[in-house]
Amino acid sequence: MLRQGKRSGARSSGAWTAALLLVAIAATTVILQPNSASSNGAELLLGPALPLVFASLAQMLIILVGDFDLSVGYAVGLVNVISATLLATDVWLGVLVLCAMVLAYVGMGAIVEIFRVPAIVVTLGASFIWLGIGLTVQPVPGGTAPNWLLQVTSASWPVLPETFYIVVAGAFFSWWLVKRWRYGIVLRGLGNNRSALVSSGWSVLRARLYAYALAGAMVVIAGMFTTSVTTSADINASATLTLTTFAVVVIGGCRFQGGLVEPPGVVAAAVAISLLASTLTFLNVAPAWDTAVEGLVLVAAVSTKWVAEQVRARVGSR
Amino acid sequence: MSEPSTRAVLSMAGIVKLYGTNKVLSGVDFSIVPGEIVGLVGANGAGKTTLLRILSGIIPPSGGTMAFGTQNVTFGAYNPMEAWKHGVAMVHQGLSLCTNMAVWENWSLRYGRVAWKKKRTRVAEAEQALERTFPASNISPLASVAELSLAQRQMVEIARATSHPWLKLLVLDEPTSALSGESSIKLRNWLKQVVTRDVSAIYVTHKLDEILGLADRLVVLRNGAVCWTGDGHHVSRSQLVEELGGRVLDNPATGPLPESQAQRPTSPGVVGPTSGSAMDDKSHGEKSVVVGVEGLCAKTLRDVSLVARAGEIIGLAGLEGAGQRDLLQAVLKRGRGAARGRVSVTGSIAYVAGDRDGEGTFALWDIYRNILIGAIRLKRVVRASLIRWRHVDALVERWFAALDITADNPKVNIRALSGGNQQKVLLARAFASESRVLLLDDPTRGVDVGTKAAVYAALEDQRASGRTIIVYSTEDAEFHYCDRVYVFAEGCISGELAGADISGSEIIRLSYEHGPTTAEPPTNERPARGAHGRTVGRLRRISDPTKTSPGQEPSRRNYRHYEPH
Repeated sequence: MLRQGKRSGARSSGAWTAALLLVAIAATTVILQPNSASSNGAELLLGPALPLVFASLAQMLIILVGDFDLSVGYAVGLVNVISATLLATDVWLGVLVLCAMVLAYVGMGAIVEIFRVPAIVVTLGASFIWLGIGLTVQPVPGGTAPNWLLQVTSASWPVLPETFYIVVAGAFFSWWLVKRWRYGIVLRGLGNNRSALVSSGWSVLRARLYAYALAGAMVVIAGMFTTSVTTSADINASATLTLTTFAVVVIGGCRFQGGLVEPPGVVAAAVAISLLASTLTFLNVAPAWDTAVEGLVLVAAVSTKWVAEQVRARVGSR
Repeated sequence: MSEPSTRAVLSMAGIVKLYGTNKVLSGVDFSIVPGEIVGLVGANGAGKTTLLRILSGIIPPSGGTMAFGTQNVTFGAYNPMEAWKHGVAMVHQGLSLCTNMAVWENWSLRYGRVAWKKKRTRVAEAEQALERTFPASNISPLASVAELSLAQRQMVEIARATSHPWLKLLVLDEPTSALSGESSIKLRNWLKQVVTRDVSAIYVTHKLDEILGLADRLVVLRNGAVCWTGDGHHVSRSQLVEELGGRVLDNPATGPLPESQAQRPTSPGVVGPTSGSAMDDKSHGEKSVVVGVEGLCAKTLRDVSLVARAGEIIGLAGLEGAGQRDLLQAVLKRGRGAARGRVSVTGSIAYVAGDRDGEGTFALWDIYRNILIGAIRLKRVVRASLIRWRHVDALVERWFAALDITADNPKVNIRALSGGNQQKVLLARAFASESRVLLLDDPTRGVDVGTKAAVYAALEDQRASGRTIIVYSTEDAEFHYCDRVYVFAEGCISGELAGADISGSEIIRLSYEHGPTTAEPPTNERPARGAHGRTVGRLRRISDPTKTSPGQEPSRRNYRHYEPH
């Protein structure tokens, strides 16, 4: 007799890896440094995670439609520069420029779709443009975060720190985008089977532009949080973000082939990776080793996930 | 029979399709009236797929007209969505589901452009469609497509097509290729019901038994044209096979497919024996077995056994997807990963891929390096990890000349060559490897007549040097260069032809030999047939022209072994 597939959620094993990693790292942190469980401590630890959370969500949205974004780091950096300079002096001009940033992402999507240039090429090229603009606007690190931005991001909320609510809201919104929004089905379809989309009468161009626009918006949010966390601007500080977002997306349970993404997993993984640096400090690991240990944890997390999938496939196929 | 076009749902007239100079369709007239099931059949390369692609708006024809009812189609503005708006629901052979989604979401994706519905409504819709097309199939609309078996995906695909809100014409392209007998009966029962509601259906299949008794009208395509149309309820299987080109001729010299004869004299440069087997048999006596396959079950293959000896060209014929490619892969892997059976291969193997762009050529390399890569394991080419360029030069020069590759010199990029010349380079690479066994995956697909002749000549040349060559080809009429041909039908070998018995019509007949019957267990018939379908006695019987209805009994053999899950 024929087997019956049970539920569509059964494949999200990747999200669990991320959740486990997050719990493990958070538990280690709290055990080593009980103060980090306090409202202030959590605020301090979670705050720096926000840029990575939203940059990873931007990357995830691009991967959703089967592309890669190599420009996400410098794009976040550029938003960081703009929001610490233009936005601080002239709010409306700043807002306008940030909207232009979203449009620039739409433009990248259009180039990918219309001229059939691989997204890797387009986004790599764009990353140098972001860097160039950023250095022109602000050649050396500096600038100040607008007061209103600092006030908004440090408002006090009941029970839990504000950052916590922001992280949860980001996870929920992106989950809704991908899994519940009606157009989310089309975006997932684009990442998986382009011709199925075409023969059903959907516009592939429009779908890709939507994905890139949403990613652009996520980049803007990530850049603003970078400014509020660092209270200054340095485009080079965000350069390493690009590769980290790829690691986060993989640990979060997404596939690079496109179409298979897990927004809550990505958010959990982003927070976990951000916490890792503090955890290592609490563990008295010399700062010189930070990057190496972080890399090892990434490799371990990804391989665990891979092994789990292999086992699943073996068990599932029988 | 059909009434003229006033009532027709769809009418096509004089449809022509050219690919380069190659005429795939040469003026097809076709129409279908409401409530009619038309069975569309044809052997390899008859043009079925091309016709369906034109009908569904994937490709435009080179000439001809098409109309839905009285509305003429402008091909410039015609696409799959337009076809869909005219009420055409297409079930493609290649599955068009999104595997990363739940079953119901695929409904949303397909029909959401017309009307967006809530999840609950879609789930109910999917459930209903699955239930009415495949009762008790037990597929949950909430299941992820990735978790479904191939057969289940095919059911989902078919069921989804039936949800078309104003369905007029259902086009089913090999709908049962992955389905079990039971599911395919369910589908046909449903089809019989649905046509009473003035929905028409085009049913394309290789399995003749499925459409006999189901189709109101049968249309046979041959060489890109409709060659026969008849009442589907009053035609016998043997008559249909005959119309498909499987006629047994009184005089084999005047074939229905003249290419097979025309090719023979056009094989230039053949060194050694031209008409292989007879001469070889004398010179080699009992030749050693180089490739032996015994009772192999792997992928679509069911209990396949064959042998290939040194200095032999073995042809693998049959309808596309009947298991020929799986056999090549199994030999290439020397039987690793096979469910059952044994594969023994003596010596090294060179494989010429069928998908030239995907797994054949190194697109960024020139001809020189594309050939060199095949010879890189030879001792005289590489010594102490260093390539000895002098030897390579000689080697490349030799094969470049031997295969008559049309290029100024071997330093030309391979992508600058025509498809036929790229194919010659791939052959050169395989020949240069000096492997004992050559496996070729449809080497003459999409190449011109001249290249075909050159390829056949080159293969005969290689046979003379004692190599064993196994060729899968879909050119049913062009197996004349082979010593023996195994014909595949649905994963089994339905017959073996040798020497003068090899002809296009005989191959086509054997290709349809293994027609599926559905429910009856065949066990009582098996011992009489011989286990592997290659018993000489049986083959003689099939190729005996006095037996006019070969398909009736042997067709049931072994069918129960194949239950896709």
